[in-house]
Amino acid sequence: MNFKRIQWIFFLAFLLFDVIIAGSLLVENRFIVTNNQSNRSSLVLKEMKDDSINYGKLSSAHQNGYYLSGYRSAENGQLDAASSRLHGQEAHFADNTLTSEFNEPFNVNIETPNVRLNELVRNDHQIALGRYYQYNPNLSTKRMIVYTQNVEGRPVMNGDGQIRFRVNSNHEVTGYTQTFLEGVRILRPETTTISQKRAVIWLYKHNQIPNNSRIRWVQLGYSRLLSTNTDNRNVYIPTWVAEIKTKNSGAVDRIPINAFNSTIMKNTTTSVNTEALNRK
Amino acid sequence: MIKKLKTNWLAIALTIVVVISLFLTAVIWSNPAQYERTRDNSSSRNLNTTQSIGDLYLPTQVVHVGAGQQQSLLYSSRKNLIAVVQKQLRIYQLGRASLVKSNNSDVYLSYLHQPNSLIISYPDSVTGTIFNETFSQSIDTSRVKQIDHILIPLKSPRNIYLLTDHGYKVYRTRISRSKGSNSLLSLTKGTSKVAVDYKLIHGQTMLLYPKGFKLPVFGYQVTSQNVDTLSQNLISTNKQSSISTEHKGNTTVYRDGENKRVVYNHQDGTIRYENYVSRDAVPKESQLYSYFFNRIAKTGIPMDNLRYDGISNQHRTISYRSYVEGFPIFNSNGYGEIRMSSKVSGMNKTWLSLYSIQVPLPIDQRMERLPSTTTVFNQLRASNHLKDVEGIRAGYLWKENTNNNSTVKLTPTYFVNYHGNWVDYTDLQK
Repeated sequence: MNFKRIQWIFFLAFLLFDVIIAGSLLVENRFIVTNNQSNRSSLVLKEMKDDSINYGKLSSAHQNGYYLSGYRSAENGQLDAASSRLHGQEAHFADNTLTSEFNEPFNVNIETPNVRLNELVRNDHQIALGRYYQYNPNLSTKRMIVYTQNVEGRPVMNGDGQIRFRVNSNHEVTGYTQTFLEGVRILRPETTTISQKRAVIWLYKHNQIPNNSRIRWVQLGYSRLLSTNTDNRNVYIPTWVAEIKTKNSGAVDRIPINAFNSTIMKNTTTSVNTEALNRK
Repeated sequence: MIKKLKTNWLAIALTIVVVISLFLTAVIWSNPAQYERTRDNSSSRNLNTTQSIGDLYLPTQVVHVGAGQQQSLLYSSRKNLIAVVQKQLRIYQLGRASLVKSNNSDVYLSYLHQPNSLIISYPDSVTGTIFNETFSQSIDTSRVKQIDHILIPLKSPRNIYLLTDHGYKVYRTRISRSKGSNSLLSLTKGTSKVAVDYKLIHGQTMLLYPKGFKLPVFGYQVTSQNVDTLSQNLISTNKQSSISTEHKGNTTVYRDGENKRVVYNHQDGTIRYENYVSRDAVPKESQLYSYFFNRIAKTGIPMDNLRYDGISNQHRTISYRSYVEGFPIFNSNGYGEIRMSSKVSGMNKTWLSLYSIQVPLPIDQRMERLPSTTTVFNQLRASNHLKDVEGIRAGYLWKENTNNNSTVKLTPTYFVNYHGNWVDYTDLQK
C-alpha cells in the first residue's frame, strides 16, 4: 500500500468522523432540547393513525382563559326583562329558560342557516339579548341550530348560555329555547390552557377515543365546573369539547376536558357550600 | 507555491480534517453539560402538566415606578401581569451582561427607584440559569450568579438591568434585538395599585407600604390529594405491594425498604417524606432548583398557583408557596406550601400537605383594610416584638379549612418574619 493511499483512507475516515460529530452537535442539541415535547406527541398521533382514528389539523398553540363566575339569568333577570320586547312569537319564561314558538315558522337553508338567523338574532324584537350570541356550527345539527353566548371571547359550551332553534323536517324553524349567563365576573387572572393537540392526546391516552373513529371537531369554550350557594353563582372554566364519531355504529359522543388541568369534566356539576366563606 | 499546494493538497486536507476533529473533541469534552441537559429535560416534562421549570420559578411582584419616583405595586384580577412581562422579555434578545456597580447601597437603591420603570421581583434570589430558562435568554451565568430584581425601563428601553441584593450588584444587559411593540406600556392600565416603597433594611431590600390600603378577600376550593396515591408518587415505585404501612397514634408511616419513608399526620393532613440517595446523586448547590422541580412534578401536585418562595443555601432547602394575584399565602400547618431539602449526606426531605388550592369561588365579602407598615412597626415596637422581626410581607392568611376541608377563605394581612417563621402580625399583638 503506498503512502498516498494511506493518506486517502485517513482523510476519508477523519472527514466522516467530523461530519458525524458536527452533525450530532448541531442537530441533536438543538432539536432534542426544544422539540422533545412535540416529538413525543407526534409519536402518539402516529399511534392514533395506526388505530384508524381520523382527525383534522390540530393546533399546538396554548390558549388563555379565566376562572369565571356567573349565574343563569332567572325570573325578573336580564333575559326575562328583555323578552318583554319580543314580537311575532309566543314566549314564556320558566325554570331560568326562555321558551318560544314562532307564530309563523320560516325556512332556512340547512347548510347556511346563519344567513337567515343572524338577521333574527341581531333584532331585539325577535331575539332577546341576541347581540351576545354567535352561530355555532359545531354544536348545530340538522334538527337543531345552536347559537352560543360569548363570554370573555369564547362560547358557552354547556346549556347555560345558548339559543337552540328547533328545525322541523321541512327545514322550517318553529321555535327556540334560550338561556343566558348573567353577571359574569373574573375570579382569577388569565391562565394558560392546554393546547388542542394536547387535549386530543390526553383523551387518547386515557382510552376515551375508540379505535376506528373520527374526531369531528375540538372546540374551546366555557363550561360549568361547579355551582355554589353564593347568589346561585356557578364557576365556569375553559373546556375543550371534542366530538367523536364511531365509524361502525355511527354513535356520536361529546367529551369535555378541563383545559386548565386536563381532566374529564363530569356531567353532573358538583355543588360547593360557600356559606362558611360568606360569614362576616 | 501553487505547484507545491497542488502536489500536497491531500496532506493539507488531511491536516485540516484532523484539526477540526480535535476541535470538535475539545467542544464535547469541555461542554458535557449540553448533553446532560437534554436528558434532564426529557424526564422533567410531564405530559399532564402545563407547568415547566420556568413557571415554578417566576418572579411574583411587579412594581411600577412613576416619573416622580413614586412606587406602586400592581395587581390585577384580570391580567396575568407576570405572564405579560414574561412574554415581553422573551421577545427581547439580551446581550452581554456587564457589572455596572457593586457594594454601594445608595446607588443600588437609586436603581430600585429609577423613574418610569418596572421593577420585577423574585421572593428570593434565583440563579442566572433559572432566569435564562424562564425568559428564554442566554445571559452569561458564570458572571450573573444571582438575581433578585429585574429592572425594565419603560421609555424606549435599550438596556435591562439585573439586580442582586447580595453585594448590591447591578448588571446591565443590552437589548440587542426586539420585535413588535412594547406591551409593558399598557401594563398599568386597568390594574389595581398600592403605594409602596423599596427600602434597604439590615442589608436586605424590603417592600414597605407607607399608606394603608384595601385588598379583596378570596374564597377557594380546597383540593385534597389522596394520601395513598401521593405517597406512592413520592416513593415512586410501581410495585404497590412492597410498600409497608404502619399506624402509630395520629400518624401512618409508609415505608419502601430502608431508605424511603412517608410520615402522614391524620390530624392536620401534613406529610413528611424522607429518602436517601447515593452520594453521586446528590445535586450541586446550583442544581437544587431543577432537582426540586423534577421532584415536585413527579408528585402530581397541582402547580399552577405554586411559586418558588425562598432558598437557604446553608441548609440546602427551598420552599415553594401558593400565590394568589401575586401575594403569598401563609398557613400555620404549611398548607399550600412545599419545602424540600437535600443534604450533602444524601438525605432528602420534603414537607408538604394533602391540601392545595386551585379553583376560586365566588364569595360575598367586602375588601379588607390593611394599615401602613409604619403603623404595624409601631404596634410591634409597643409590644416589644420589633427587635425580633426580620422582614414583612403583605399576603393572605389561610386560617382554617371550612366546610369539611373543602373550602377556605383567604384574608389579607401582614406577615412578619419572627424568629425565622412567617407569622400573622396580629398574633404578636396578643
